[in-house]
Amino acid sequence: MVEYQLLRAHSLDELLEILDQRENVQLLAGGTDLMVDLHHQDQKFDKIDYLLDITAVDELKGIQLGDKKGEIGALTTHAELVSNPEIKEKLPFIAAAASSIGSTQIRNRATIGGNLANAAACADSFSPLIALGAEVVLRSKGGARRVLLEDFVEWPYQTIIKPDEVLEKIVFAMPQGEYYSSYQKIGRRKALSISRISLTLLAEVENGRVKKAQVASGAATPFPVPFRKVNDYLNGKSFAEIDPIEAGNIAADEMVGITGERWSTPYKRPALGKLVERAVEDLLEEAGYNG
Amino acid sequence: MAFKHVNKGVKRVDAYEKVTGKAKFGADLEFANMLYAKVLRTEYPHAKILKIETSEAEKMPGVKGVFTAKDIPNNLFGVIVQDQQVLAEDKVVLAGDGVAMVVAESEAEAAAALEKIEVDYEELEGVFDPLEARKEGALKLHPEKEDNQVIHHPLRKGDVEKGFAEADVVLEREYTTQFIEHSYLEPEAVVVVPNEDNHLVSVYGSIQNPYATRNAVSAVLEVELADVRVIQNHIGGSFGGKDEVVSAMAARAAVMAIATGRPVKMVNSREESFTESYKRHPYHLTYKIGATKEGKLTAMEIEAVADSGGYACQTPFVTWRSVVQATGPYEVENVKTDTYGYYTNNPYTGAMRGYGSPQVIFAQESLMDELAGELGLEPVELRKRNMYSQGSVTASGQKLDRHTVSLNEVMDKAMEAIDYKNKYEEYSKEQSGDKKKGIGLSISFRGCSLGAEAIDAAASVIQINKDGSVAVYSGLAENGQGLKTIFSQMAAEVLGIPMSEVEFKELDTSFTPDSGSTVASRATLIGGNAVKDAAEKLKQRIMTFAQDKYELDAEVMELKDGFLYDGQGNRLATFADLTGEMGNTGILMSAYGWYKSPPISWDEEKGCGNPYFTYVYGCQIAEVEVDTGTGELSVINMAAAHDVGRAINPENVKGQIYGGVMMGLGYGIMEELELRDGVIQGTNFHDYMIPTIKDMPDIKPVIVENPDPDGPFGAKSIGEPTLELGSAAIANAVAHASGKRIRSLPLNLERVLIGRALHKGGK
Ligand SMILES: Cc1cc2nc3c(=O)[nH]c(=O)nc-3n(C[C@H](O)[C@H](O)[C@H](O)COP(=O)(O)OP(=O)(O)OC[C@H]3O[C@@H](n4cnc5c(N)ncnc54)[C@H](O)[C@@H]3O)c2cc1C
Repeated sequence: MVEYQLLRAHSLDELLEILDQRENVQLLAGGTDLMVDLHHQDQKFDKIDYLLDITAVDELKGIQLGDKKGEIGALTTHAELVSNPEIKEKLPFIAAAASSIGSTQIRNRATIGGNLANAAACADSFSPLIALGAEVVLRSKGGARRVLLEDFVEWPYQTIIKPDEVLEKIVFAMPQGEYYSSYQKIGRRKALSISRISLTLLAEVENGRVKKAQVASGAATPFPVPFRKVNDYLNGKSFAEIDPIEAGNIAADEMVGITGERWSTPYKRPALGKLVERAVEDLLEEAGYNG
Repeated sequence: MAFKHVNKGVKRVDAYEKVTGKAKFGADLEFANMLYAKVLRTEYPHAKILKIETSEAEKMPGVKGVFTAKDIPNNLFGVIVQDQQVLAEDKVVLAGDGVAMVVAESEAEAAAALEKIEVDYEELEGVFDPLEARKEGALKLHPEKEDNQVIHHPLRKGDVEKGFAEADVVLEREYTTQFIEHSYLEPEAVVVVPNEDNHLVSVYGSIQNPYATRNAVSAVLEVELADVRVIQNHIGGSFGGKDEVVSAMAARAAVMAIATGRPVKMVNSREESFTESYKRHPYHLTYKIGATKEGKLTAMEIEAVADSGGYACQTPFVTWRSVVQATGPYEVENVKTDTYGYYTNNPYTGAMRGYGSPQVIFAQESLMDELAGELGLEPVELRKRNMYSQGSVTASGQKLDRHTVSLNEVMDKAMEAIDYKNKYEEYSKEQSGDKKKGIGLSISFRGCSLGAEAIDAAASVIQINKDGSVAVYSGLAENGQGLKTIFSQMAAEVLGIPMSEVEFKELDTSFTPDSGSTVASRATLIGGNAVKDAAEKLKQRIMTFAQDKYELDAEVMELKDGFLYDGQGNRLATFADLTGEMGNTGILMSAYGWYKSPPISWDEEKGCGNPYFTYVYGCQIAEVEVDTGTGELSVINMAAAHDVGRAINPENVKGQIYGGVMMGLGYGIMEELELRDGVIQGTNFHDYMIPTIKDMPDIKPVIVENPDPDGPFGAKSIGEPTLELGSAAIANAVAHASGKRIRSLPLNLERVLIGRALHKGGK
């Protein structure tokens, strides 16, 4: 049996104080990952002395999107991301990713911070945020540090968060000018479905050319990474020069380059290629290019 | 004939207590002084037990006893073959076999003590594929048997060599199906109370078949049936699944209840339920079919190999239904069918909704579409040229002339409901883009009730109280399918009383007569006839009394809405006054009802005879969208037309159709219990995928009614037919959409995109 004491923090200061003072503290947000693992008596909890409920910490909540910068508090639920009008309008791929997560009940409880901190290979929040070039703010009593999200995960279920740190918020530069996005997810059923593959493409365009493209995938690689070769392929190209199928092939090769041939590769290679191809087609279509 | 209660969508009689949470399920039961028990299950699919050390566990706080096989009076039980161990004695044959159990003051204390039991095993090589198990020289899993074969059912008709020689086209195909979990919402639960009301043990809980459980408990305890009382509680789903696994649980709890003299409760967690419960049989099916260029079938040769897992369980009967129905509803002069079951070290397999039909229908209805393609015929056309019609003779030589053979009608009505013809035409054209639509159908005939498996009879008791209220008891059990409501409707109909006067009582084996198991979609048909019989006996008594009292001919008087009428529209008496008076006069106001099915026959050597006394017919059509770029599959619409004889409760029939279609859809496109060397990979619903509400297509239920001469009010069956057709219809629709034929279930992402399944850790 995992034995622990339950604590609750009411402010960020109190939270940081507890993390500073005590050891072997596990944070509890929505609990949708944590409670499941606890139920299974996962061995990683053998060293847990405290469960610290952070859901009352208001400083970790809220969504602010400015002209240049945006931030999302770690405790923001997926349901809030789905219903937030600004997210829907300016960053629709984030809303799309959030709406694909779990079920209504899960989305009402589960937080974006928990999704990132849990760092499952299939976690759906990574690809939209990596495409945004987002950073996470990790705060401890001693201060805060900012880390690029793509450098945040070391290995599945393992992040660089230190024991005395909390993931406070996610910060990013807002995409500028004319931009388009696409989010796609393949699951085994239509709800409560873990991603087989998810994908975000975000591209700023100017005068019929891709200025800055970011393609990132979830579940395709052990931990989420941007597909740099696809980005390179797209960046600077005029719409006419872009071949969606080729973009798909590049992405598929890049994925296999990272993962090697695995049991799932015969499926994931063509499927990922197809998602990238579709995302690029979406981009061209939305940008009003009709070949 | 106009009915008052029957053939109407009346409210379920148990709806109120269920939606208000008042209904008590097995796990809700509490008894004074109750203990809790847990079972230690092995992780090895095949191993010798060298030693079980229980002394540490016995010393644990709260523990009242630790038990192993040697504490069980008779350790072997089984409905058909007595080879299932209550607790493994010398050998475990599947990962999940119980080896020891602890009873304690609390569940947590029982669980803690389990961890202190030490078992020394000697791991043995295992056999995990029935195709391996059948090979000569294969490792024998039950040493006392000659080989690993559980059963073989042959069926021979005509001469297949001759039939294939006459064919212009001969196709040979292989199909496979997977292990399936029942996925009932409520995991297994029982409470056994010792020495209650002059019974050695009383068993309460989530029990599908109270008589089968009583048989098992009395056999295990080596006591008389009369010593064991089984009372069924509300049941949170069963689908064939709460038979042997619950009997084993009840027998274990009974041993501990007697030993401690206290009530013992056992409730499985979901993980325990997955680990321990039996599954639907995976089949390996080989079909060879011959046809003339005109599309007339000339011969079929079929072999079906079922994986029985560690125990025989229901394999002998499951594969028997398969042998009867393996050709599908088609006239074929020359048939050679063999169905087999083999022991392996996989989880054991038993009854599950469909019972040997979903597997063969998937194969045979896929095959019909493949053959149609080969012959250049439309799928509907090929079927119409060969399917059963009135007076057809089945593969086993049975002439279908006792009931209406309605395949044509169910097919036409299903096609109309979903606009099949237009959609078939449209989707047969070239479709642009990755997302392609298709439509596919499947049809079936299904023998109602047990058939030649066993004696097929059921009983009921109806009691009219002095205030005119009526209590109905049946020997068949509510499994959530609506039996209580249907039987109440029938009693109200015959007695001419409002539904509110009818009280359906829980099944109690010491009171209601043994009626066999509530399986094989037999409750409405067999049990309904028994209820009708009891009600008619009482009605007869009432009318005879009234005839004397009012000096009117019994034929002209009528019982209606709780009154006796004179036939001229005048009320003579209330039902309550009349029957109360009868009771006071000393007339017995209770009656037993009994029904035994018409004669059936089966020659096990040749595989011929009249295996069932009537059949139902169904057609399901699936419209799908296949994403040929990602392998995603959406079932958009489904039509399901089923001939039920007569719908006693049409709303209930629709409920069965919706549920059955969804279960069939899960079977078709996503469900699969993954095993690695006999060990289940993932014992909860995050790994085992069942469809959600969002995967539910728009379902168009079509009720077809051709009253059966032997059915109560003409009613037949609906529970299982609804599930057996979907997977083939979907597979046919996928082939229509994508041009790719998938011959293995489920049609998951990988199979749809790359044509084969991938397994973690596999190559
Ligand atoms: C039925 C079901 C369906 C699901 N479906 C999906 C899905 O489709 N897609 C998907 O991506 N996920 C899915 N999940 C997983 C889960 O819901 C998400 O990962 C969710 O976002 C986790 O958030 P939470 O607030 O519940 O985290 P918790 O369970 O509370 O925490 C998860 C981990 O993060 C740590 N943590 C939480 N917040 C912080 C913080 N601010 N700083 C540092 N560490 C923190 C916790 O200590 C813990 O280790 C599903 C889960 C369930 C049970």
